[in-house]
Amino acid sequence: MRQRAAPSGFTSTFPMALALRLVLALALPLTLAAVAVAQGPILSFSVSPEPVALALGGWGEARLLVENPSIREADDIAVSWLGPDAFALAYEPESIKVLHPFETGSIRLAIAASPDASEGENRGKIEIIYTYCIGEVCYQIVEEIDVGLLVKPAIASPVNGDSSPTVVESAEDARPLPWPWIGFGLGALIVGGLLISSRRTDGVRAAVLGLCLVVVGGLAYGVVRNQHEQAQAIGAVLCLSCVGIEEAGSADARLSPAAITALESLDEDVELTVFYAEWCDSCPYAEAMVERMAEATDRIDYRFVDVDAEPGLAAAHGIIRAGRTVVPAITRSGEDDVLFGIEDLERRLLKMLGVNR
Amino acid sequence: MRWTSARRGAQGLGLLFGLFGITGIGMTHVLFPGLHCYACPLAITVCPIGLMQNLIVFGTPPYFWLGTIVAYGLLAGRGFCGWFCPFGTLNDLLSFRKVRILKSFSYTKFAVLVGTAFAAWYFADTVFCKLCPAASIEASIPYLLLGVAKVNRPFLIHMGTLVGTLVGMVLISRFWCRYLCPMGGLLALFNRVSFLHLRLDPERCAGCLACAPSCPMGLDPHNDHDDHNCIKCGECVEACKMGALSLHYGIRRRR
Repeated sequence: MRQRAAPSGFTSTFPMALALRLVLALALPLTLAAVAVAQGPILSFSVSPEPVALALGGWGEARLLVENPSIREADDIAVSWLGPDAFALAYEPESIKVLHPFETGSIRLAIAASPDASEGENRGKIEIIYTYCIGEVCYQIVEEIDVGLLVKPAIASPVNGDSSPTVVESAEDARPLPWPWIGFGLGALIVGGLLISSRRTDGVRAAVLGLCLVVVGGLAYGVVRNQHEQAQAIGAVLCLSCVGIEEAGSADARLSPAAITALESLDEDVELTVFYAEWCDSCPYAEAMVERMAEATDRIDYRFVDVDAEPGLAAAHGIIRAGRTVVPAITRSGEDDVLFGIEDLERRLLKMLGVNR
Repeated sequence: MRWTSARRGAQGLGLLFGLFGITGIGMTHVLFPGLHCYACPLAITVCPIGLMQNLIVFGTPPYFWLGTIVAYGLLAGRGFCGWFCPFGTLNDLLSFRKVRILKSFSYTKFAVLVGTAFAAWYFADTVFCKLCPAASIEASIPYLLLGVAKVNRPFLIHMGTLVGTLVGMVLISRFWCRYLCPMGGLLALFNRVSFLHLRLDPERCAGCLACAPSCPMGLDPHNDHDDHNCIKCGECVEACKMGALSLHYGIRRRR
């Protein structure tokens, strides 16, 4: 065992303690100065996806994400188009009435391009006005942000002669490397390496103190940011492809000719209920499949139910079990069976309807 | 027997806490201090590894997650593997052959942890969950019995990883915890500073090696009592005739 050094004289410990105090004394004003320098505008804005893809004479959709990193709420956040004139907002965007501290809100933007706009990359400007109050004193703050626009050639009008504007799906933009996360990971690796490899226990107290600060800071800031509820929300949604309820990925909902023939032989009136949720990726496929079937025969009636809006009904059918939601789910009126997921949906739906040969 | 029976009790509590949904009480915000699939129909808590992947997919900085993990790390470190984790308990029940550890392979779990994080970012999906044997046993099979899941490719992949892990567990005690568990890797980072720790009194140790065959993690406790693989289960404390090994709770003393 290593001998502890005998208490030495004042002279040998003094420079160390002095240095420590100096560092601490300097750290405080330096931190404050850094915070002051880093202080940006109150709300931060970003447009997703950027650039916004749109067709000549058509429109493209994007979301303006508004993050409020401050400790006070921001009110009446409204958006308008500044220019250039070849573009405009297709409809008046809804304003955010109240954005609470540490919350992120979003505003849907539909940007329309006139037929005489130039193709290729363009830049537009939007103006954002909001109110920010500190106690009794309120400020109206105006900000401008740039939006990248990617104008594509006009697309021939839709086959069904519908006059609605063409929406161009924005191309999957290459994801940039997540540098903060890489830094986070490297830091964790270094700390972890130190923690698992060190043979000495001398630094334990300092490490424990540091980690306690991480615990307090992480939990406090995490709870302020509502991350504990986010954690629960993530836990409450069942990963369908993880437990084998469906295979990931969805194709176009299209009926096979055999299915259409089978549906024509349906000889009773059936009502189908499709339970869906806003956040569910495979629900549109299930909805489209039921719509196609209803088009093939007039015996089928259907309705869509949002499980978040009608949790009681969903729970009665076993679509919400033990606080966990499984969608898409399709039920047939008067029967208890529930179809979950979208895998092999056409065949299973025909079986539920009793027309598969 | 003192530590063993205390540990069985704690493992029972861990199982109860993990399957608290059976009481009908809804989801909580709590992160589970072990590998316990939140897709389990009875689970009320959140799996830290599942949440980590989801946060990476969403690109959210994980303040709450970090605070909780560090808190668990400080409270017991890998003690949770030995005393609480239901999947660790399953490993325990199948520990027939306490073979010595393949030291260099024990770092694989850090590779699994980093790989899990990387795959979540690269594929924007919870890739690890689709392979996780804890999910096979706690989610895939229950949902098959509930009539929600079907026997298809994802289900068969889950069964494959489960069978592989079970065979490993039977051949090597605590196979999953030793070599593969990303949650174990996460908690292992804090093993040297965690409050629950194993202490060796060198003056009492006769070097008889009676402790080594008792260790389910295949360590040599009188040398490796501070190892990142130590799950603080206390088996070696029971095995030591000289009383040289002991479990302590609190901030460590300087040596």
